[in-house]
Parts: sequence; C-alpha cells; structure tokens
Amino acid sequence: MRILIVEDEKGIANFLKEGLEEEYFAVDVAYDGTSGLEMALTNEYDLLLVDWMLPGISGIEVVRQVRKEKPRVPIIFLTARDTVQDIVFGLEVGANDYIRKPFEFEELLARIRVQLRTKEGETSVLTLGDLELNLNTHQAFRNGEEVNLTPREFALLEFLIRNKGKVCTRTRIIEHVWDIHFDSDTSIIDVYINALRKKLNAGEKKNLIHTVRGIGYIAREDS
Amino acid sequence: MNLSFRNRIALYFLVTTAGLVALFYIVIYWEVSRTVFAQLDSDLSKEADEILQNIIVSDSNINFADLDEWKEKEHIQIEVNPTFIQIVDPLGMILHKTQNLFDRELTFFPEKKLRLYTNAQLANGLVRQVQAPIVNQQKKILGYVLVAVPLDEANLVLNNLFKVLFLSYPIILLILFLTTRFIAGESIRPINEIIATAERITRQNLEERIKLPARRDELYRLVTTINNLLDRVQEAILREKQFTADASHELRTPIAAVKGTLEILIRRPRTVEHYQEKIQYCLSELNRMSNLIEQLLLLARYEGGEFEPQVRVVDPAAHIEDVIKRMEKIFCEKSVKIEFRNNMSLRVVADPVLLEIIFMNVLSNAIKYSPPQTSVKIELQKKEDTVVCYIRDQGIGIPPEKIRHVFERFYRVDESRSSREAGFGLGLAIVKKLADLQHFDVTINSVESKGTTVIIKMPLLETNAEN
Repeated sequence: MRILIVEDEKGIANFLKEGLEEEYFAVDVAYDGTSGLEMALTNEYDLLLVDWMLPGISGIEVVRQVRKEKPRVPIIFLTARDTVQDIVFGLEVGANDYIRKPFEFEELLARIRVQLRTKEGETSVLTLGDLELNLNTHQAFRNGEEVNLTPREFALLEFLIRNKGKVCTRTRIIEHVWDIHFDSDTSIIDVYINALRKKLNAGEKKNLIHTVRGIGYIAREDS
Repeated sequence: MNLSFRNRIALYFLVTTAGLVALFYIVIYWEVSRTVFAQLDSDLSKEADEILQNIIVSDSNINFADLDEWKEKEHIQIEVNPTFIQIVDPLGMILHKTQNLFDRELTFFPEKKLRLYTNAQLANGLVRQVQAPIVNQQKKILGYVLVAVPLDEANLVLNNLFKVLFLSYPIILLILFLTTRFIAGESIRPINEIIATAERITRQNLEERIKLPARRDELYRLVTTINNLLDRVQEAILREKQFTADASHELRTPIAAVKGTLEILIRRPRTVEHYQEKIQYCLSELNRMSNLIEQLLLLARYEGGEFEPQVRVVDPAAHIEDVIKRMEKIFCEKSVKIEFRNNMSLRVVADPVLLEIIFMNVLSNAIKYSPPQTSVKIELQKKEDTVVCYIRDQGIGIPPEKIRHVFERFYRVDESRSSREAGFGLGLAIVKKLADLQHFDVTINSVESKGTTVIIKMPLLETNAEN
C-alpha cells in the first residue's frame, strides 16, 4: 500500500515515513503543498496524509484539488488546530478523517487501516483459499501454518490479494508496493514473486499467484 | 419605575402638558368670568348712577323724583331681565323697593364704600348687586341704593364653560399621550433595530453590521460609532484567535515530532548510531520548544497589564555594551561584525532588565538576517528630549508591504523559510510590548537586500534636572 505524506515539518514527516515503512507501506513525502499536490495527482496512492498548514498551497487546497480529480482516494488530515470549525471545515472540504497533533502513532496507524479497509469493504484479515493475511500483525498463514515473509513480500502479497481475481500490471504493482525512489525496473517484481511462491507453496501446496504473460500477475484460487 | 423609553417620554410630555393645559384652562375660565362680572358690574353701576340722579337729597331726607316714570319703567322691564332696586336708610331699613322683589329683600351690607359690588343671596337665587351710598352736601350718608340683577344667566355661561373645560381636559391629555407615545415609538424604532442587530452579533458571528439609517442624524452617528467599535472588537478577536492558532501550532508541532520520533524509536531495537541521531534530534527540538515557551511566558507576563516596569535612570550605552558582550560568541560564529561607538554619557528613564531584552531581541534579529562578513552598527544620538538608538544591519531587509506586520506575534516575513532558521516571530512583538511599557517609540526602516534599521526612541532625562 502506497502512502503520500504532505507535511512541511521535517521532524514529523521523517518519523511518519520511518514508522509507516516499518509497517510495510511504501511511503513518499512532499514538504510543501505545491509538490504534494503534483505528486498526489500524478502518482497512484492508496492514501494521503496531509498537514493543514503548509507553505505554498495550503492543506485544504491540496485536498480540494485532489478531490476534484480523485474522488475516492482516502485522505487523512493532520492538524495542530483543534477548534470544531477547523475540523468540520477540513472534513467538509473532502478529508475522510483527521488526527490532531500531537498524536499516538498507533492511533494514526489504526485510522489509516480503517480508511484502507473501508475503501474496499474488508476486515483486517485478507483471505485467498487457505491463505490468510492478518494486516494488523503482519502474519501470513497457509493452511493454519505461519509463513515468514519479509516486509516487501508481505506488501506485495497484500496488494495481490486485495486485487484477487483481477490482473495486476507490473506498473501498478510497482506503483503501489514500491515508493517513488525506486527506478522503474520491473524485473524486481519477478524476483519477489518467485520468493513468495517458494515460501507459500512449500510442501506441495497449490500455487495461488499466477503469471499473466507480458502483463503481470493475478492472485486466484483455481489454476 | 421600569417604563420603556417611549412610555417614559410620553409620560414626561404628558405631565408637562397637563400642567400647561390646566393653567391655560384656568386663565380662560378666570378671564371669562372676570369679563362677565365686569359687564354686569358696569351695567349695575350705570343703573345706580341713574337712580342716584333721580334722587333729590335734602339735608336729611330722601325724595324721589319722577316716581311715576319709574314705576312705568319697572313695568316694562318686568321679568325679562329684571333689575331689582331697593333703597334703604343708613341702618338698612327699607325706604323703597321695586315691585319685582315682591316680598324678598336685597341683602344690605353696612359698609360705607362708594361702590360695593357683591354676590348676594336673594331668596333661592344668587344676584349680583351694587350698593351705593346716598350722600348729602355735608357728605352725610342718608341711605343706600341697592341695585341687583340675577346671576342665573352668568352662572349658566360659566358653568357651561367649566363643564366643557373639565370634560375636554382628560380627553385632550389622552390624545396627547397616545400621540407622543406613537411619535416616540417611531423615532426610537431605529434604536430597536440597533438592539436587535447587536443582540444577534456574537463571538461566532462578528461579520454582521448595523444598517446605517438614511438620514445623517444622531442615530446615524450612533450606528457608525457602534459599527466602528465592532470593527475593532472583531479585529481584536481575530488577532487573538490567530495568536491561539499560531501558538498551538508552534507548540504542538515539536511535541508531535518528538513524541512520534520516540514512539517509532521504541518499537524495535535499533543501532546505537540510530538512537544517538534520534535522541539528538529530540533534544534540539525540546530546546526549541523551551525557547518558545520562555518567549511566550515573557509576553504573557508583560501582557497582563498588571506589570509595572521598574524604571530607573540608566545609561543605555552601558546596557548595550553588556548585551554585545553576551552576544559576541554568536556574532563571531556568523562572522558578523558589531560596531558600537559612543562617547556621550546619556541618561534615560528605563527598566534595565527590559532594556536589555529589547536590545538582545533586536540584535539577534540583526544577526539572523545578516549574511557573513557584514556588520551591524549601533549608534546613540541625542535629539531634543529623546535619546535615539539606531541599530543598522546590512541584512536581507524586509519587503515594504510587510514592515507594518513585523510587530505582530508569530509573524514571519518569509513564511517559506524553514522554521528552524527563522525563529518564532515573537522577538519583535516582545520588543514592541516592552517598549510600550516604558513609553519608548520603536520604528523600523528597511530596504530589501540592503538592510534594516531599527530605531528606538527613549525619553531623555533632562541633564539640568540631574545636576
């Protein structure tokens, strides 16, 4: 899952990026409204974290503009303001949720998960056949047995299962699982897919990740 | 009494007019009755004269001339507008009376006046009568002539007049009261509108203004005054809101950053370098926060209005030198030269602590915005009854449209500059506050990319007063 942080305070942006990356998100950061808006409009993000007070374009304006082009992407506001009007205004402009500074990182994480969940109407456990992914604990189970995955592998698997039954192109996979600093060599995906298949299929289990030649991959139960 | 304004106006007006109308009525009544009686009296007097002419007076006897003619006259005049005549001797014994008196008698008053006009009782009715003495050549009173006419007619007129006046009085007052009340109500209607609007205006809804009346009268001025007041209140509240928003942003942001950084740090084991880096970051952030809190407390302490500066006679040059000594290290670090030349001994009235805070804030701004290898010049001048201190830097300057904002709290000339560099935007607000407390005048001149001059005018203590 790829997240864009628009926040001018480097201290806050830094820990958010670090913490979220450790939670297996791909994270991009913009330090002002103008570049934040540009990035939000050109790249595919699963969620935006936007600060209210930004140099250049304000956070409100960023949300307003993004909403025009992308009505569905979840947006969470970070704000140091706390009057009801401010919050109501932020939500009316188009944010899905808000969190007041200073906040607990765990709470922010929970709110991010709620937004990602409601986006597709899921719970925090994703399943595909006998494969189970717990998004809160980042554990994967195959037939009840835990499979150890690296953060990137987990993120890749999560993306594929969220889109189960649909073909995921290499470009989309790169966009949602790796962050902006990754050069667009998509062959890295194959390496991760192979590793994933090896771990998941250990012990002669049915393959769940299928190659769609020349396009990308698809996760589905039947072969 | 808790009467509404218009009722009160109407009541005051009513009381005044009630008095005036009553007075007016009394005058009318009195004038009419005076005229009526004067007319009667003059008729009676004429009649009495006529009779006296017809009386022939000898030494001690009264004789009537032309008695026959008299009788005739009486006969003609009978009952239409009867005139009663009666002649008595000095003791009141009746010598003669006209027939229309029948068995009644006119009342005799034993007084020697030349003409005595009175109201008197005659049987069941009132009469107006005149009593005139009959005198002989030796001025001896031989008797009296009494002439009277009934008062019925005059009384009727006066009674009618009284009734009209008496009945019209309350009606007129009632009409006046209602009219005044209506007029007063109409003329204060704009005031009611003002009240209604003013009641609608609250902290949350400060946009609304009272509609100006069409005519440029006192109410127009009242409304303008209230609207201006509202402008100022709104401005103050906006400033306060802005201050609260800025302060909470400035305080919460570093807290959020430190808190978040530590939370992430503690989630899993890290390398020593990682710990060191993060802890270093948190410490610097905490230092910043503590600076901000100090500045806010400083402002708060002097803001309350209870603070009295401890003014003394001080030499500003000495305090400037002190401040320079303390800041020397920072100047060196940035390679900014500081020049202060002074050979005058000046005396100003100031609080030395506040004075130093002012110079410290102005100087640290000067350093902050000065490029390396430039200098900051401080100069003291005596001008009339003030000591003027010029602090000139060769820094980046302030755009002209922003100069008027620099004394506002949390105002930063360049918003996009990283907040780490620029401080909090409280320094000059503090300078301004402390200067105001000591009746200093602070102004700023600036040319972009040339430099900024801060001018502080301090009241000079007269040297002769000192000697």
